[in-house]
Amino acid sequence: MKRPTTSYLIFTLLVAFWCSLILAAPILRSGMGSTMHLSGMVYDAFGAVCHQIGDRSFHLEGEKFAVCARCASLYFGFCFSLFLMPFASRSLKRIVPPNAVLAVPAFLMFIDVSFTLVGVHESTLFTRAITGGSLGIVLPWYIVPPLIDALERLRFQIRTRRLPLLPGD
Amino acid sequence: MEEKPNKIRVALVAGALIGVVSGVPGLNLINCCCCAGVVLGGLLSTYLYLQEFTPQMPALESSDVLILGIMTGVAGAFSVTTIEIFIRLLFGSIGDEFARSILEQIIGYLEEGGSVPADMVDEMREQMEQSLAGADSLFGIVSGLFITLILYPIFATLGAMLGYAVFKPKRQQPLQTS
Repeated sequence: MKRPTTSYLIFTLLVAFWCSLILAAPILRSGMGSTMHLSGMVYDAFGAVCHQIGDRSFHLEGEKFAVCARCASLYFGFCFSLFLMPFASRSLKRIVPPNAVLAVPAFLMFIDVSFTLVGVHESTLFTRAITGGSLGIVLPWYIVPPLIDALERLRFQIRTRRLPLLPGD
Repeated sequence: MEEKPNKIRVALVAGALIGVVSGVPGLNLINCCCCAGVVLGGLLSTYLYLQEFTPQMPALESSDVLILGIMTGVAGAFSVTTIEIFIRLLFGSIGDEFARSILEQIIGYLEEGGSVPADMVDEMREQMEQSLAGADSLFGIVSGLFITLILYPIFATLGAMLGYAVFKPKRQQPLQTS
């Protein structure tokens, strides 16, 4: 296993923090006083990216997660894959799989969502977790290598004082 | 060798599309799934940017895409706020009613299709009313802009990176660290 880069470690920590907030919201809500207020802030923040419908969410301590089951599975799958990446590849920059690997879980999620919307089939917590989780597991293998590469390039460009930001760069 | 294409124009176009998708009532439901509208906007920005490259230009680098994604997200945050303000100014409470009627139609459709239980429908209505009530004030607009200025660049960048991996150019410049 190649030593993970600083960019990778920082990004992984941020993703882990994001996922921990999803779990923190219900735990804080089950507490008293100021933790309830904190929990409300976390729920509000995640409300911008998810419908947060209780029946479609996992629960902890009797309270729903900060995001729905599909989103939670996607984020946790993403985080899980992130932790696996250094073990699975000698270089984080050279492990982008073929597009078909991304297309399969994306298609499955599309089918699950669209069939539910038109009433052909009713998605369950299980199908939401499977489709969200599988897409979440696959996504980092596409997103993280170019992201790490980009961050390293930017660091290098900043160090050598040739940061390209705007037009014509 | 020619210079790389202008990122601002592409970021503004993709940002405007993010604004439309996220600001128009009904359409903005797509963001209920992990900011999918914003992620797709970021992905689109990479695609549009790639279309502007000619063989005489240097190859697209991942750092270009990173900056493009951030710019697209910022443009998207401002455009969604602008569109929401315009809808509010133009239609006032009619805008709320319009949003409410669209959402009611969707909820009713889901209810009729039997794909959502009755108690969940009540919860959806409650959340819809909460979101409509909070959007009225100046504080609601500013806090909405603040949240989108944080979230949209993140998700648009992830989308742009995904676009870079999917539409990856054939020739690529190696990272020179020495």
